[in-house]
Amino acid sequence: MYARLGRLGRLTRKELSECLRDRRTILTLLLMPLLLYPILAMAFFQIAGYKKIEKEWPRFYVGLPARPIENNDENSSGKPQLQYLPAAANLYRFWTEIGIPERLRRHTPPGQTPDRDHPPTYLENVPRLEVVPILDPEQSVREGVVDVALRPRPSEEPRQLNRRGPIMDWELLYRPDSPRGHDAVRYLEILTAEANAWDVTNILKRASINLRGDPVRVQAVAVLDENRAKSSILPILIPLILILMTMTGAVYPAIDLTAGERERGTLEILIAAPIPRLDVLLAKYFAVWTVALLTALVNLGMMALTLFATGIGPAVFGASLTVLNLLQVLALLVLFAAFFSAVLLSLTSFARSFKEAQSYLIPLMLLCLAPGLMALMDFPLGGPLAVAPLINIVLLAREILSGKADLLLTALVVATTLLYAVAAILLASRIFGAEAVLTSESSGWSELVRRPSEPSRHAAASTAMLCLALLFPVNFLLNAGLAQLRDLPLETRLVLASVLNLLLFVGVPMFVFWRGRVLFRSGFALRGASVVSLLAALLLGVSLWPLVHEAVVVLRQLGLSTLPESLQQESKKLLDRWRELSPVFIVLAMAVLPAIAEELFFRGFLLQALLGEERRPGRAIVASAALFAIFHLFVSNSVAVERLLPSFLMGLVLGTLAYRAGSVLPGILLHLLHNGCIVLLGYYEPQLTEAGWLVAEQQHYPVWLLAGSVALALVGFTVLRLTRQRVS
Amino acid sequence: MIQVEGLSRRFQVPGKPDVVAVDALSFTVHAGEVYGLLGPNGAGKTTTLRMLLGLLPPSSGRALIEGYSSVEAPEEVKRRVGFVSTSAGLYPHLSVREMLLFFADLYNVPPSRARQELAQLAELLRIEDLLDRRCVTLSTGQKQRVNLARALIHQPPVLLLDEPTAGLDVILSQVVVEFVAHLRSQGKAVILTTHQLDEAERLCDRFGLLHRGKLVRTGTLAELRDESGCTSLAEMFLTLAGIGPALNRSALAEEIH
Repeated sequence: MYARLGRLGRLTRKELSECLRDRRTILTLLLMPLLLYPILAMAFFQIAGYKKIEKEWPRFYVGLPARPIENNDENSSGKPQLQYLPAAANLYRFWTEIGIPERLRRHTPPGQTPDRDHPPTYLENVPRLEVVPILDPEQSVREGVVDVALRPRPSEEPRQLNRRGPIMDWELLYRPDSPRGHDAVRYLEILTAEANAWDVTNILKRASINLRGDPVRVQAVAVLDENRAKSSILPILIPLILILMTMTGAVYPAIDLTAGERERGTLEILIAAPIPRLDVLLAKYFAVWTVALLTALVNLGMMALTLFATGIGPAVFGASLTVLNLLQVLALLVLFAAFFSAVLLSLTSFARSFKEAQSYLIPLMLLCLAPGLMALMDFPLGGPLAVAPLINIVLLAREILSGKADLLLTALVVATTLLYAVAAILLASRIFGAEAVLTSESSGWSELVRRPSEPSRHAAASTAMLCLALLFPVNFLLNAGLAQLRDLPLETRLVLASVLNLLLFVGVPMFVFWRGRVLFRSGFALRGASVVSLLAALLLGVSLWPLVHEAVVVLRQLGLSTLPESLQQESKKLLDRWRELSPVFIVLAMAVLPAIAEELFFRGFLLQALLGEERRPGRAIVASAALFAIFHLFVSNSVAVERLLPSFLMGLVLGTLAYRAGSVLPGILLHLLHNGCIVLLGYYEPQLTEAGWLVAEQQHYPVWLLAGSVALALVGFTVLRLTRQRVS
Repeated sequence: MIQVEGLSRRFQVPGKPDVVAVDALSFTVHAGEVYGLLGPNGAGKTTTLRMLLGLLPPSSGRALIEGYSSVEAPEEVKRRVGFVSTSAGLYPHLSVREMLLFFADLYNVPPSRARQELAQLAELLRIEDLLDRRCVTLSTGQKQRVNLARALIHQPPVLLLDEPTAGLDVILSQVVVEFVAHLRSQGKAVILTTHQLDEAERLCDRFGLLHRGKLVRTGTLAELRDESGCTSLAEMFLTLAGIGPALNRSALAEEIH
């Protein structure tokens, strides 16, 4: 074992040194990030700078009539110095000292003091008035020196204070073709109205007429959406860029180490060596993973450096980009690289040349952009998306960077991603150096999926793993979809679920068997079973369910439950609706058919495939039990961690039984008795409670039941040990 | 040392009947013997060697190397075989030393013994000066020497040489000729495939003439001469194969040369 690991290490080192000595690897590894991030930063500045200008209000240049100062001495510049007309200066003060503060006061909620530096957002960037002394208002507007110019209004009558009419009477000159002119006029009119209103109020006050306030009052109130404020595009863009860069880093080594072997003529001498092909491929995998990770590290470092050096970090992430964030992103990239390297290798192993490999990878790269778009469109992480390859990583990255990541979902994403990676490596190790790749010069994929001429006794482990990896999301999607069909009658839904179940768990293996010329009977382990093994199944089938139930209850009480309360309630409601149907139908749909489907898949198809290649049955049983448990983790749209351990233990029992009996039949018996007991117990719960067998609203089973179960189970295990081991 | 019994291999061709690439081959090669597997292109020489090595499963029959079956114990077989082919390449970015030690490692040769073996082979094949150069910088002749060293680094008792002189000029071929002589003196069992019959006459102790997957005749050169009354292998091949009218014969003779 150690020798094998040591050799794997040396093989990996060789692959790595070959990769890293290649100029092309170094190019993508170092040069790309060195160029990319500064360029991105520049682009960011361009966009950000542009937005700022667009948002800012213009300064309005206001022309105030002036006259030259009568000075004895000539001015040094030769220009006459100007002095504002006092009336014009008065008007300007009227606007700035009364109009602007009044406007601000009016827009400040009652009880708060107006703050000139932080006005309400819709008043933000209050236009600034710049005064320009002018001699000829009309000319200065026409020439565009000012946006608006003041001109005293020529009046026929002399102004009198006690007469009706304005004290100050001015014209605002503007150019009709100037948008800034329009805005300036509108703004000055607002200020005039504000100041006039203030004046009127003061006059009324002086006359001891107190107004209640404005007869009509409108107040703008800002409605904040925290999610929207937080959901910036960047938490998704940054991981996406890093992921794309990691991909570019992995692509070249992956092609070079697989398709390149054939192109160089080293493939044949490599597989002529007495070393397991899985080891050769694992070494290549670790090398590609390492290069991908190095690329990710260099990119992350360059990105952090760019953010730090240019100071746009806070603008991008708020102020919250910490070392912890960077580490989290790095961990995600480790996971992503593990997944992507495996997928890459399984694709490039098909290829016979660089060119062919590249043509396979272009669709893959395009496919990888889709998850990024989904993340941009604000899909939540959860449901089927949590197990969708690649999509789940990108969505998880977004959740982490916006601080909303859920520990359980994170664990789920990590687990499923690693599962996909393992399946991809197993597939790659089968393809790499395969006969078709080795011998044919031009034939395509059909060679690899063609039916073999010789029948075999079980499916290949990699095929079984691949099926499982594909069934995982498909099963999840179908169940989630079924849950949506609430309008259909319950019977129809149950029948539909059973049919789909059979189609997936039995139909898919049957298709695999047909394609791979696997004998049905041995592939599913559909052999006759001994009476002893059936007895063991019978005993365990009727005795294990109370223990499993207790285990789930205890785990829930320990707080190890993740199934939402609402779903638990919902299943109770569902139970009530079941009781309207015939018990035979319920047992058939909920106990018998699932038992047959799951046993044929997990203990038939999968376990036989694992047993066939692994000469160590213990490992195969544990692996099939673990996969069985992961499959049972999901309950409609959520995850039930409390089911993990009980399902795993059940998987061990069923796997051992199937192995010892050499048949899947006792397992089916055990499974359907187990399911049947639970289903019937739920169905007849009211009657059983009435008869005093169960206590209402109590989760634990009575002690006599548990004690009896333990005793029966012990007998069952003893019989199981007596079951003679069948070597097929 | 090498036993081949009724070895056959069929290839499936979509929509057509199976192609029989190798048809019921049987022969034995002893230690210290060089066996020439001769035939035109597509006769099934390479397919036979691949089945011997366990790279291809035979459709029927079996091949044994030191008693190990290539189907049942492919790893044991691979451990005992050195494989040379002119189409075999080198890892461009590894040095010659790294490349050879890497292969020693693949064959589970302990590092100290591998270094010893490397020194001896470098001397034998005159590649001492090349050991620290990257493979990408080597000439065709140098690459060929490295490949020969690579096939011997784990001291296999059996050598399979697939067209070892294809594409080489007279001077470069001389290395192969000396190499084969060395193998014979070391008591190795060697199978050599070629379609260059004059070269085979110089190198091999015994011959198997392969035509369309079938072994049409086996024996030493003297036996074959007696049997056919022909002097050269090329002439003999045409006669023994019983190939039809003269027009076809000349076409085949051209192909053979």
